[in-house]
Amino acid sequence: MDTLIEILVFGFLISSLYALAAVGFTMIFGVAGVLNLAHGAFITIGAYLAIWATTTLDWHILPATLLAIVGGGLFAPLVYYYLIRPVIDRPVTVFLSTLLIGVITEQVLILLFSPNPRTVSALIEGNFAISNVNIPWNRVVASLVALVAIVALWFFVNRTRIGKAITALSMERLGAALVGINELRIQLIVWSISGVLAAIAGVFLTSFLAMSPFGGRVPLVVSFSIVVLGGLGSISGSLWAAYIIGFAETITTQFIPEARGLPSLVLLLLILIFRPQGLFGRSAA
Amino acid sequence: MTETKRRKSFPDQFFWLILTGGILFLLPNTGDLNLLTILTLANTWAVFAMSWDILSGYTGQINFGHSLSIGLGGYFSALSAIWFDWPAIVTILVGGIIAALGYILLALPAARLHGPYLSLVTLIAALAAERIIRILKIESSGAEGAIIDPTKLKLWQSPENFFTDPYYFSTILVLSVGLILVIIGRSRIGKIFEAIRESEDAAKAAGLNTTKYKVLAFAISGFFGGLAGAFYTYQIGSVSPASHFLLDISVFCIVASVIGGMGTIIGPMAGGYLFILIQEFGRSLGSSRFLSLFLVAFAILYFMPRGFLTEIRIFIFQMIQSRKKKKEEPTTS
Repeated sequence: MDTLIEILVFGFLISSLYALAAVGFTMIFGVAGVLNLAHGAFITIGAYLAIWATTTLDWHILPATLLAIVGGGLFAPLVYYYLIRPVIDRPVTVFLSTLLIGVITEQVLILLFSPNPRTVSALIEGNFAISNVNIPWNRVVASLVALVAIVALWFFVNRTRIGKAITALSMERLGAALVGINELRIQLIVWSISGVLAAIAGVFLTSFLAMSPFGGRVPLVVSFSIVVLGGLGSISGSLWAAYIIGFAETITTQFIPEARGLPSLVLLLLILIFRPQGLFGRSAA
Repeated sequence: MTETKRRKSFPDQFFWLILTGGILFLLPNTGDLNLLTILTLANTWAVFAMSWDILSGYTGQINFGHSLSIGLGGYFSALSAIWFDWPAIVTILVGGIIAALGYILLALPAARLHGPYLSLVTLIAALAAERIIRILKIESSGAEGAIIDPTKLKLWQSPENFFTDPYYFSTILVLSVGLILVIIGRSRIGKIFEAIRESEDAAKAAGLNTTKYKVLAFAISGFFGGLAGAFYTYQIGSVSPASHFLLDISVFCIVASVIGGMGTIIGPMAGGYLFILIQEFGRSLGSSRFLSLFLVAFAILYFMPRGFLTEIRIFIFQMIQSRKKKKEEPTTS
């Protein structure tokens, strides 16, 4: 019984965070057509901004999180505008340059902060118990923030003018240009949203586990899995897929700890081979 | 007309290979054992990059998990050495063949996918294989699925000199693999690979079975990657997920090829040497040497998309051309 509660609760908590990381990734693919391997870098940059603010500047964790959000929201569109946009018509170059941005960020963070894992204090201290399972409040707050952010994003995309422009751009670039949508502005907004969500995910990951300069790699692979499973470019698909992957991970970690990560990889391989458009996505590529 | 054209396109790639071979065979005379150990490593990793290039540089199917072939080659050569007591050469070939089969198995479904999807499949296949090795722990004597057996995983059973033997072996390996891949690249098959890279639809329209050639490219790439991975096992005397199934090997292949010039075979080789020599001789610089390498790769990707060796080759070619013109000018006017 306790095991079941543990799987249900922790599976749900970690899945929400995975969803947060994956949604930004999928939006960039949908709108810019870029499979962004630098997404791991967006996560670590958010995390390290919070680490820097809490340790060097001695800030409280709340303003540090805000700083991380602002940093992520600025860094991602800058990367797009100065590094990705000039070569957008060379897909292989774009792909390789996002990879290089990822590894360069890792090396810069190693130079600035050393390769050792770092951590930040929890947003809210303390635990509560369901039956015999201890649950930290911090994780509950993190998953609530993640869910609120995703729901807000869903409303933004589906109910506002800018959101509709984002959808239009992801459907048909030329058509969007013809009805007067400013493509650059929408791209910058989308990259900024993606950077913000990644930064939030990064701060929470740092406060539960720890963050090293290579700490963006695992969330990047998880984002891949989620996004491919849910269909590249689909926000609601990512949400469903995040819960499938999150629970699969939690269950394997519970029963076969060495196999951690394997079920999602195998699931993903099967999906890519037999149903490349994902479970919920529209057909792409 | 055809006569002059043929003379112009004389393969300078062979000159670069001969140059590399000359340097590599002369260097043992310096007697610097440290240099030779580093060069052995560089030779092996140069083969990693070259075998990546015949698939990704030539056909444009960007492989994100080339460590899969290196790991398969490494593991199956070690296992066949331990189980059957076969000589090193045979087990290295076995490693290459198993890696080629693995890549064919991967390519059969993956060849239908395009662009980022194909890259994702290769990445995931490599990550999944690494996990499986960690769980199975076949013949594992170390932690996390490592096979450590310095007595059986030795190139020659009674080495005269520990350092020079693997060195010559790796030198011959890098030169012969380089030669074979350059020949394949210049052959009809290589031209078809390039046609697929430029436009798969056009290649199909010209009546080519592009799936067949993509699978072939995977097989060739896997075979040579497996060969190098198997040799790498002998070189370090062990094989483990942390040494062979490393994401950094896949990243290395990409960075080395981008620096040297994708789709030229000798470019990735040169990039591979540059990468390993800077990595090993720049140890005092700490991690900033990787940062500078990645920044250089980034700049080359943007400003020199053909790679530095290709630019040098074009420069030399143009110099020769302009000299010829100057000689011809007085007679014609």
